[in-house]
Amino acid sequence: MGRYILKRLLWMIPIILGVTILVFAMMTVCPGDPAEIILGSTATQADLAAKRTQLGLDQPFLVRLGKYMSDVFLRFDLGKSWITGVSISASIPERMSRTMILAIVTLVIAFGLGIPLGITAATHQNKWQDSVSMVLALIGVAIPNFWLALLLIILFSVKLGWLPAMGIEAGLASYILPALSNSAGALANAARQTRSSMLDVIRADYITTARAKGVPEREVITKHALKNAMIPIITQMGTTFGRLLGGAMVIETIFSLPGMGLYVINAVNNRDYPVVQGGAIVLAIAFSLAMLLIDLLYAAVDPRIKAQYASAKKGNAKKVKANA
Amino acid sequence: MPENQNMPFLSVKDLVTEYKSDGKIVHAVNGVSLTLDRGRTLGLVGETGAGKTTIAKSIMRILPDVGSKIVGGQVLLDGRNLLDLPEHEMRKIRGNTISMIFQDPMTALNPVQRVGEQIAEVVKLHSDPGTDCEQRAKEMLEVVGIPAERYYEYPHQFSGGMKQRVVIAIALACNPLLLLADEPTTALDVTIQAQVMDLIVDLQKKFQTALLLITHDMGVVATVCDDVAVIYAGHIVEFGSKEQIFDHPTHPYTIGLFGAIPDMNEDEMWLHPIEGLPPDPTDLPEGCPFHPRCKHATDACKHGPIAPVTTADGHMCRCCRLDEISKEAN
Repeated sequence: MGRYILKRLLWMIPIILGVTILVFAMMTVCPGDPAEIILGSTATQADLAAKRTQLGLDQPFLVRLGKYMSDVFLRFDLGKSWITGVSISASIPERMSRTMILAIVTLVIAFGLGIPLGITAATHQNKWQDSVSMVLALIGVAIPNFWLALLLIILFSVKLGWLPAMGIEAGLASYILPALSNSAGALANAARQTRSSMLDVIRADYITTARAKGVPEREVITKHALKNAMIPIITQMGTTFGRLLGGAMVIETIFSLPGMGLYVINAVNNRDYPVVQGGAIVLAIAFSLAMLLIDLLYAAVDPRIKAQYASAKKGNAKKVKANA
Repeated sequence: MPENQNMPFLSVKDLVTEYKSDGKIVHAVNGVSLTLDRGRTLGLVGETGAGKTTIAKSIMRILPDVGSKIVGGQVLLDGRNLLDLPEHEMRKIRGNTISMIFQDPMTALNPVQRVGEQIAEVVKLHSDPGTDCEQRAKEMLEVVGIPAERYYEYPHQFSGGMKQRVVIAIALACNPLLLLADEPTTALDVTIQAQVMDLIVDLQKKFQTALLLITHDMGVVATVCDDVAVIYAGHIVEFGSKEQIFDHPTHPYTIGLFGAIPDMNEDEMWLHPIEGLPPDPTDLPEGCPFHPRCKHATDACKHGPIAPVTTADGHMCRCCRLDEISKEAN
């Protein structure tokens, strides 16, 4: 198992290198002149040329790429923002942590409510509980998150005054409204996924075996059925988490939550290349780690998958023996 | 020993079970009555879809929640009607007094739970608090011929035959008084079949268990069963001791079943199947359900329920042309 994790971590190296090169190339071919954006439209040609030289933009693509890669991967320096001059390595941790908190709270709400909702629907298939759950899920998917965010602000911040409408001064409470508005779609998807994968499992023979043993119905569902139904649910958790990491800028904008989404999207608009590149690298690392976590969760839930990971290790061991 | 000497240990009376499927009603079990005493073995024989498994699941009340219903009848176990029991009472009986061995060992075990825990679970549910369930589960593994060390393994690490042994261990862990074995050997290799069957019979003898054996293997019936019930389209068409059924089959369907077994002593070119197909259970023919395939059928067979005819020694046959057919046989 340890070996599997190590292998996966090593695999992250080519992924991150690939992401770096790709994003660097995309920023180069993307229209817009950073020097012009920084200096404004009144700048003279000479000023612009001087700025380009200062930013290193006058050098060939490969030279710039090589310099950037050596800065990042050899000296672990992501550089400074061209706009604000603030070190990127210093800005990212606090912004990343906010996005992470938002993503985790969103996931907890979405799956904490979505899974029970899906189970209720599956265990009462074609009854009113099923219909109600699935209508709720449909509404959840259909509601745009920015609209829900505005409604929640009106209710909880403006009318009731329970929760802050913006900023992060209130600690974890500041994340509740953003997470709620962000989680509607994810919750609905979680409920639908749970329902369908529970329905697959609930008719399985081993569920009948469990009933035939005299296992109480509640335990049949939670202990025997749910664990078997978890794999597709975990997969969805992974993709949802990935989307939440990179795609929270709408919610971050509405709630003035200075997270990664807002950071990167502003940088893209300003052609602030180092920030975009640094943000992409950090998001790629976070995403890869999240996917690894998901794969480890698979193994924790399903011994057959764990055996596959372990047998890959055994295969290696055999090869080593053969070589010796 | 049964508590009441006059009453059979298990007595199923006029059991009727239906499924709903696509708005149609599937008449799976249509008025089945049977009795079974402790230490005895009753074979339920019939084609796929005849309703054998549904009878067993109805006795245990583990039919799927959605769309299936026990419409009528009684299941008396030691005089108590199981169909009237509240669910929590029934739960105490399942896996304890009555247990079931399932047809397909490959899917009958929970793939994400250790095999030992699956045995220990049933012990824990039905034993006094403080019982060492793990120890008992390990004993059961040894009983079915699996080393106790394999307690911690998962079903995917077991072969089909070993999985079936685990299923049997689960079924027998609480020394059930009634064991429902649903084609326990069908999914296994021929070489393993005999071992598994021997195991079930040994354990049955040891604990004086009543065994309801569902099978379509006449060879298994011949070696294991005391009595045989022949099921066709959810009806028992013939019931008797093994000798009665094997030596003097009287219902045309039973005769057809035996006729379909090739004779090893003769060089036969063709098998002799029963012509036609089993009836559609959503649309059973009126009268005798077998009449569309029966070469002896007359108009009388097509109307009304067919009354069972029972001889003095308990051989029951549900056929209105019984006299003619037995004359023909003699």
